[in-house]
Amino acid sequence: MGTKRDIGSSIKEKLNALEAAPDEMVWSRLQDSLDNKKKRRIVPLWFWFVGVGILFIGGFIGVSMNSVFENVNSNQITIDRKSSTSNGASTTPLDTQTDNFLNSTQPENVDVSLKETALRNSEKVDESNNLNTIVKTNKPLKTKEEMKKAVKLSDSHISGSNNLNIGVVSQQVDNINSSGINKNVVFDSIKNAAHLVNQEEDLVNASASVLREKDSVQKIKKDVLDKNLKKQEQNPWSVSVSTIFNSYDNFRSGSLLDPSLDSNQVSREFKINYGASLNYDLNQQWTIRTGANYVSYKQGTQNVDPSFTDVTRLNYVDYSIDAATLDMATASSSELEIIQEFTYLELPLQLRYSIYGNKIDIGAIGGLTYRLRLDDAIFVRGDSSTIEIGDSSTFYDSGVSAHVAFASRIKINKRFYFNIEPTYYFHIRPYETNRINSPSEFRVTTSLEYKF
Amino acid sequence: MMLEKLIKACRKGDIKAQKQLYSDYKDVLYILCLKYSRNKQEAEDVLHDSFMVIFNSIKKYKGNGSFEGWMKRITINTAITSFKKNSTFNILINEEITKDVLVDDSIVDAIPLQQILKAVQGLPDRYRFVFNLYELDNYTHKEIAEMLDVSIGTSKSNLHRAKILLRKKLEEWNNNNLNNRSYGN
Repeated sequence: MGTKRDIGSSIKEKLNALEAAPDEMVWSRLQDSLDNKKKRRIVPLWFWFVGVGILFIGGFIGVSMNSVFENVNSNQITIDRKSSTSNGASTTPLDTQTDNFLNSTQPENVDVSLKETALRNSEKVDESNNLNTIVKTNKPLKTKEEMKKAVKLSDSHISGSNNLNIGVVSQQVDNINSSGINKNVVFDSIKNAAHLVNQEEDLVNASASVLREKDSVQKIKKDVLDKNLKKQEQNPWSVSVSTIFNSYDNFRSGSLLDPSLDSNQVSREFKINYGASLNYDLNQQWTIRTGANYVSYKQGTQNVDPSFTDVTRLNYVDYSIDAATLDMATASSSELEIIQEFTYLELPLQLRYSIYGNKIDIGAIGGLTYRLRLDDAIFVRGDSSTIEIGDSSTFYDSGVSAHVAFASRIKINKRFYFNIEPTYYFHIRPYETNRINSPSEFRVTTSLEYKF
Repeated sequence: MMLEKLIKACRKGDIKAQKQLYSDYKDVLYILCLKYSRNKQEAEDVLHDSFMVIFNSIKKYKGNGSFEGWMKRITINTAITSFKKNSTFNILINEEITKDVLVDDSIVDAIPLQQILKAVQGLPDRYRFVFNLYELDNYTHKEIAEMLDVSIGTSKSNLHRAKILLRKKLEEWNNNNLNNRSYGN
C-alpha cells in the first residue's frame, strides 16, 4: 500500500505528463473558416461600378421594376419548395429547424455549426448506446444533405434503441416472475435488469443531449439574427446614389411662353436625373434622409407658325437677343419649335418608415424638398438652326414641394441595398408665377444604398 | 518569429502568422480541450472554435499578462460555452462538501495516462468541468460558480461527486487489471 492523497492532486500530477496533438484536419477546417470569414469581409471596389451599372439598367427597365419583385419572390418560393421536397415526406421539428437554418442568410456559419452538431450527435449516440448498429461519422460532413442525414440518423437511432431496451427489460422482468424461488436466477435477472436500466439511463442522457443540440441550433440561429440586428443598430449611417426618372406633364391648358400658344402641341422629354443621399437610422423602423438631387426638365412647343406668332414678343420670355437677329434666324423657316430647359438643385428632407422588413423591406416615405433653379434657357429651332433667345420671365428662383412615396428595398448583401421608390410630388410653391403647370409630378427613384 | 511580431501579423489577418501561432500553441491547447471534452472529436471541435475566437479577438489582447494564459482562458470559456446547455450545470444541490477524497498513490501510478484521461472525460459534464477548473486549472469555487452559473455550494458538491466517481472508476480499472493479471498467471 502506498501513501494516500487527494485524488485531485494525484490526477493533476499525472495529467501534467500528458502529450497529445490534434489531427491535421483541424488546421484545414480552421483555414476554411478563416477564408470564409475573409471572403465575407472584402467588398471589392468594382462592386460600386457594378452597382452604378445596375442603376442604369434599372433606369431602362423603368416602371417595370415591379417584375423584379415578382422574380425575387418566385425565386424564394422555388428554393423553399426544393428544400422541402428533398427532405422526404416526414419532417420532425429538428428537420424544420435544420431546413430553416440551412436556408438562412448566413450559410458559412450555418454549415460549420450544423456540421459540428451533426458530428456530435452521431458520436454521442454511438458512445452511449454501446450498439454496433450506429454509423459513426468521423470524417467531416461535406454537404447539407449529409449533415441533415446525420442529425436524422442520431434521432432515429435513439428512438429505435429505446424501444429495444424497453423490450429486453420487460423480458427480464418476465423471466424473474417465471423463475420462482431460484435465488441465483432472480439475482442475475435483477443484475441484468439494473445493467439495462443503466443503459436506459445512458440513452435518456443521449436523447437529452440531442435535445440540447436542438436548442443549440435555435440559439445559434437566434444569435445570428441578434447579431444582424445589433449590427444594424451599431451602424445607423448609410449613403446612396440614385437615379431619378421624372415625368412632368402639364395637365392644365396653357403655354409657359405665351397665351397665343395655348393650343399648340407640347412635347416633353423623358429625363434621367441623379442624386445622392445620406441616411441615418433613428431606430429599426424610422430613417431620416437628406441629400441633393440634380433634376432637369425639357419641353418643346411645336408647330409655331411665325406668320401667326411673333416669336420676338412672347409674353413670358426675357429676351437675351435682339428682335432683328431673331427675325433673321427664323426668316427661312415655315414652322418653329420653341424649346424650354430648366435645371434644379433639390435638397430633400425625408422620413422613411419601414412597415415590413426582411430581404425585401416595404415602407413609406414622406418629406419636403427645397429646390433652387440652376439654369433656365429658351431656344427657337427653325428648319436650319437653333438659337437661344433668353429665359423665362415667370419662373421662380426657388420652390418647395411635399412628397410621399412607396418605399421598397431589396437586400443585396449585408452592406448593399437596392431601393425603388415611386414618388408623388405636390409642388406647394410651383415652378412659375402663372401657375400654368400642374402642381403634381410623378417620379421613380432607384438607388443603391451602402450601409456602413 | 517573435511572439509580438506574430501577434501583430495575426491582427492583420496574415494567414502564415495564424498558421505559425496555431502550430506553436495547438498541442498545449489541445491537451486542455481533451480534459474538458468527452472525446477526441469534441476536443478538436473545441480547439477549432477556440482558435476562431482567438483570431477574431486577438486585436483585443492588450499585452497584459501571459499570451498563453489569455489563450487558455479563451479555450476554457469556449469549452464551457460548447457544453453549457441550459440546466446541465445548474442542478441545485445544497450539500457543501469540502472533504478530500483520498486514493492510494500506487493505484494512480499504476494506471496508464490515457486511462486516467478517459476517466476524466467520462465524467458527466457538470462534474468534469468543476473538477478541471478547480483541480487542474486552479480556479476558485467562486470563479467556477460565476463561470458556470451555479451556486458555490453546487460547485463544491459537484467537485466532491466528481472525485468519488473518479476514484470508483480508477479502483475498478485497477481491480480488473489485477484480476486479469492473476488469470494470466
